[in-house]
Amino acid sequence: MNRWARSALTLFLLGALTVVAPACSAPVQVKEWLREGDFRERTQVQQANGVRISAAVPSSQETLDIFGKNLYKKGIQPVWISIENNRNEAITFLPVGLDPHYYSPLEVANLDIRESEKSTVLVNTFFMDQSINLMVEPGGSLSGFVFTGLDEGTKAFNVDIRGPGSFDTFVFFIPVPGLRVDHYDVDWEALWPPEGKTELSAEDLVETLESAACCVTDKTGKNTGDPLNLVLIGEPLDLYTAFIRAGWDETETVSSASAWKTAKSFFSGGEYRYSPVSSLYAFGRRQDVAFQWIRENIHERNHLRLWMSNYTYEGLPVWIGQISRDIGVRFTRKTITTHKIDPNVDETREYLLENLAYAQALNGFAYVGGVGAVSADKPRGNLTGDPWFTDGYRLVLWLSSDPVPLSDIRFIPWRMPHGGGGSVLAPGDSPR
Amino acid sequence: MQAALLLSLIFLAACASSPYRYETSVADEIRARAESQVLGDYHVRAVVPSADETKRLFGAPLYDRGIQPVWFEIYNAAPSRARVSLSSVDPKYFPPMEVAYIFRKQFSKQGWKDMETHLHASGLPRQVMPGQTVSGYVFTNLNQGTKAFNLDIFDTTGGNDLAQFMFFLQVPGFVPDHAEVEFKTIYAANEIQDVDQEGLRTLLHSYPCCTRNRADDSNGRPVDVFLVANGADLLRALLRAGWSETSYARDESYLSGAQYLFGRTPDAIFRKGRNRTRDRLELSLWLAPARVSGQLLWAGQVRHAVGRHFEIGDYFWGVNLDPDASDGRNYLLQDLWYSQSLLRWGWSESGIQVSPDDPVRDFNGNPWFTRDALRSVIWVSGRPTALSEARLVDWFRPATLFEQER
Repeated sequence: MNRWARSALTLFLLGALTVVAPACSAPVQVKEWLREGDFRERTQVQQANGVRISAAVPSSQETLDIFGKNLYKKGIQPVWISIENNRNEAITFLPVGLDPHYYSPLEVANLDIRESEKSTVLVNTFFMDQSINLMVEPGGSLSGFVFTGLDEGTKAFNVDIRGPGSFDTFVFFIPVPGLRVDHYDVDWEALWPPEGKTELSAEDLVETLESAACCVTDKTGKNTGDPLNLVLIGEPLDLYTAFIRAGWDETETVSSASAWKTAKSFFSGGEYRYSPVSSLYAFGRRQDVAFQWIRENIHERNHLRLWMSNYTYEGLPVWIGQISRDIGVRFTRKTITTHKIDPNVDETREYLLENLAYAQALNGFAYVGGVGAVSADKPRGNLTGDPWFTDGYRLVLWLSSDPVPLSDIRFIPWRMPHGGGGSVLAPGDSPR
Repeated sequence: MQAALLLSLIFLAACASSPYRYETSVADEIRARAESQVLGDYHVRAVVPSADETKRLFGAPLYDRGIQPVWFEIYNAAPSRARVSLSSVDPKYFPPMEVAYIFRKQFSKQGWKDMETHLHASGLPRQVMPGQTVSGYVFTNLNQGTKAFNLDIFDTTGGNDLAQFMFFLQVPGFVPDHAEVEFKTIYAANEIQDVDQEGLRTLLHSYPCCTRNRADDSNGRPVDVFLVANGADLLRALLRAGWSETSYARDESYLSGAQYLFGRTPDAIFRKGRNRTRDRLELSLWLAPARVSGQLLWAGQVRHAVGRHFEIGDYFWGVNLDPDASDGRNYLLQDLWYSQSLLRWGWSESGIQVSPDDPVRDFNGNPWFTRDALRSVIWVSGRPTALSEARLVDWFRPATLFEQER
């Protein structure tokens, strides 16, 4: 770049700045969100050991109203926390426990503003900003926002409180309006009224599960697809809290019209026509519940579909499910695009076991047959033509709403599959 | 132009029809340097192949796509079957078939199938029968520098406790900055002050508030973190908390922009991504001329890069540092706490107070302020310490602000 061009560029940029600067330096207005009727009317409260925690999550629009910035669009979600310390000793609040990658207040303030000191009006409204804000004195209280990564649907988080010789964790699940999935309105009782349910003994349960259909079907019921390789035991709330805690999403994270439709029809069995989650059928109906677990790349996600059965075991509903792991996107004639799944479906099944165990959402597990072994050199195909193979077992998982330490997980030896991983393809003598 | 296009098309076509090839001899080479650990009835060996070894082992440049295989051999001496958790090594590990899918376009259709077969057979099994030895790879996300990972083994009958292995393995081909520092010769024996906990409290008041520039005529940013730990324990604690080692070429441009303390550039720099790729923490550490009850003392500074900005003067994209210098300090404390590396901590009143209303600028022109005049002093634990076990040292504790320890 020659000298003249440089000067011109500098002048242009300086000019541009002069125009923009007044807008940038205008103090961010904090609106009167303390008035009644704001998001804090949805506050959830928990208390234990002399500490009372209130928490609420403003929606996308409410966040914009409060901060004057579209934080949701930036992937940032403020969580409002109020801590009352009724103990005789001071306590420490640890925001890393709420979100290990929480954003610092000034980082958020800095998002669109070059000189961050111009945003002090904004910053000063947060309890995180001034000196020893992690501490709550005896009899004192503090409140304010923690800036976290955005979660669609329900916001699940811990509030960790540390006192001298104590460590308390409060677990919150807060539905966020606008993105909220309508699961509270689903009438599970109507799906299978109590008189339609059958309680099974362990023996009968194993027999029933092993004689159930191997695979999902399409709408006609004529073509079979992925194997039904999961059995879950628990109340709807147990399932819900377990999967949310393990990092699964109840809705699409892509913000598009189709995602909104998915969210709406999620538990109600509405139309999935425009949704990236396709419908699969079992027991003559599409899935009752679907979760997905998204990794780095949006093409890489794990899909889980569940159907509530009319059976109960030890009083708890029994669900049958299917899990697969997408490893890429490919084109098909039937659906234009579809996800290419890991053909080793057992790998994905065992992954789920570990995922739920480390999320402390698992009470116990067992295996039953019922799918039938399918070898890797003669794989079967799902409804979109992807091959899959399996050792033929279904994984039975008892889910828990309350955290269960790893050491307390029970294994029930109904069946002992020789291998948890990919035994079929691998030659050699190592057990898998 | 057209010729080049044609050539590249031919090249692509040739690529897509390549058969799959890999070398078997590499496996023996890398196993020779495997590290062994024993916990209860479980014997584990582990090794991390380098980028080049990985390419030869699996016939594809896995490192280029951020995939780093870790080899394990597990012997189960227990009378019951053991279950290995692959997620414990890396919760976002890649299943073998996915790795093959990622590289499928480099091979012919049969080549892809062959790669699937080879990778699948190379995967670490999850079940280990009594008296049996299994081996295989877990395909993890790539880390630069020393590879830190766990391996959990469960006894499925519940007879044994959960065995939790922890490995810190060198990967050939990467020399972290701290490995090039001769720590033993930094200070002469008579330069080192031996202090106890109370002595440290006094000593910190004599340490500079801030780093300096190369010419030693201008302040950088506050030095507000002190760590008490032996080198190996500190390295493990930082790796366990997800910090990465770095390797800077100490060239002229590095030296002229670097932070100086005790008259030199940092002995070690660690990095950690916080939210997005552009959002990064950088921890600079200097060995201090003191020992605390026999342990080494490290002075540190955490810089939090929150974005980039366009500097008109130099036509330069620079990093935008979080002006709140205390945020990095608070984050590091919690970070070490949650990674179970915090034994105890204290607040020293020897820092510098710079009001947010009147921030100062470091020698690079970035503004900063502090929330208080406190520096954190962290005793790092070599072994995992439960969250509730960490203790606050009885130093600075105004009753209204800090919790009281009994």
